[in-house]
Amino acid sequence: MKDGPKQSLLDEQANIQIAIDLIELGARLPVVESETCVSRPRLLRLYKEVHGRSPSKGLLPFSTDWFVTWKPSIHSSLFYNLYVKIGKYSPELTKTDTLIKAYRLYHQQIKLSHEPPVLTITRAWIMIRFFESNLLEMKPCSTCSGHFITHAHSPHDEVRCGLCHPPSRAGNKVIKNGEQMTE
Amino acid sequence: MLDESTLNEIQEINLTYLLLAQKIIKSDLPSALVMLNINQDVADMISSLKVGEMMEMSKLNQLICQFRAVSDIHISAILRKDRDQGFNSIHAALVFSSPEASKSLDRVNI
Repeated sequence: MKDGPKQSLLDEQANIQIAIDLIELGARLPVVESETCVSRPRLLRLYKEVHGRSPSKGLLPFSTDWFVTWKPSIHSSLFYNLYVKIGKYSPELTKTDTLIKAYRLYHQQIKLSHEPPVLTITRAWIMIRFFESNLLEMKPCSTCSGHFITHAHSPHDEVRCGLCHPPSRAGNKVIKNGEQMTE
Repeated sequence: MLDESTLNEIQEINLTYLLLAQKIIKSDLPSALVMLNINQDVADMISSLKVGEMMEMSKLNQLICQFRAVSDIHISAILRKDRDQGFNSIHAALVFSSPEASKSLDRVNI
């Protein structure tokens, strides 16, 4: 994707809208940069206009382990099921549009369930890449049939999901501290 | 036999469903397909319905929408939990958006 002279005004406009959508949903700049052809200085300006502060710096989270820990795995699985389903029903959408729509649906549901959104859109974006490079995969839970995230190449065909078989002390931390998990 | 008021409720739900579906489809088609669990052809059909046609389709003694095809065992797995942290609804959302749950429904689109 190049920011060449051929890019039409309409394309540019559409790109900026995607950048705004991603930034509004909380995406880190490297994510926005890789999904749009908007130049970095313009993205910086956009970010400051949307959030009123400079974007955070530093490495993006890069571990696959986070996605299979108890609470993140629940949120990540819900998001990824929605992502796959949107892609299946609307194959004409770009991956970026699918990401945005799936993240909005995820966020909406989490809000209805009165849960803090554990999965950021940046993590969701990284997770899709992990799936594309076969580091993670989805498997059905043997009890509830819901599809859950696991490390790829695990020997079992089915999983016992974290909702049907929660670890014994799961959830206590959040109630005690009253704080939500951070990235 | 159902009494008159229950029959009326069925027709109301039918009409409400069609009006709501049309509204969701018009606001954002790709998300609507997932929320309504219908394919693009059915969505096109619903959004093309005129009010008069919707009324005709609603005047039934049957519901035009049906319960998501998830087995009773799976439903009880979702609702069984004694711990309530808003997880039951997340769990339900997760199961209903999983491939298996929607596969069985593809056959029975309204």
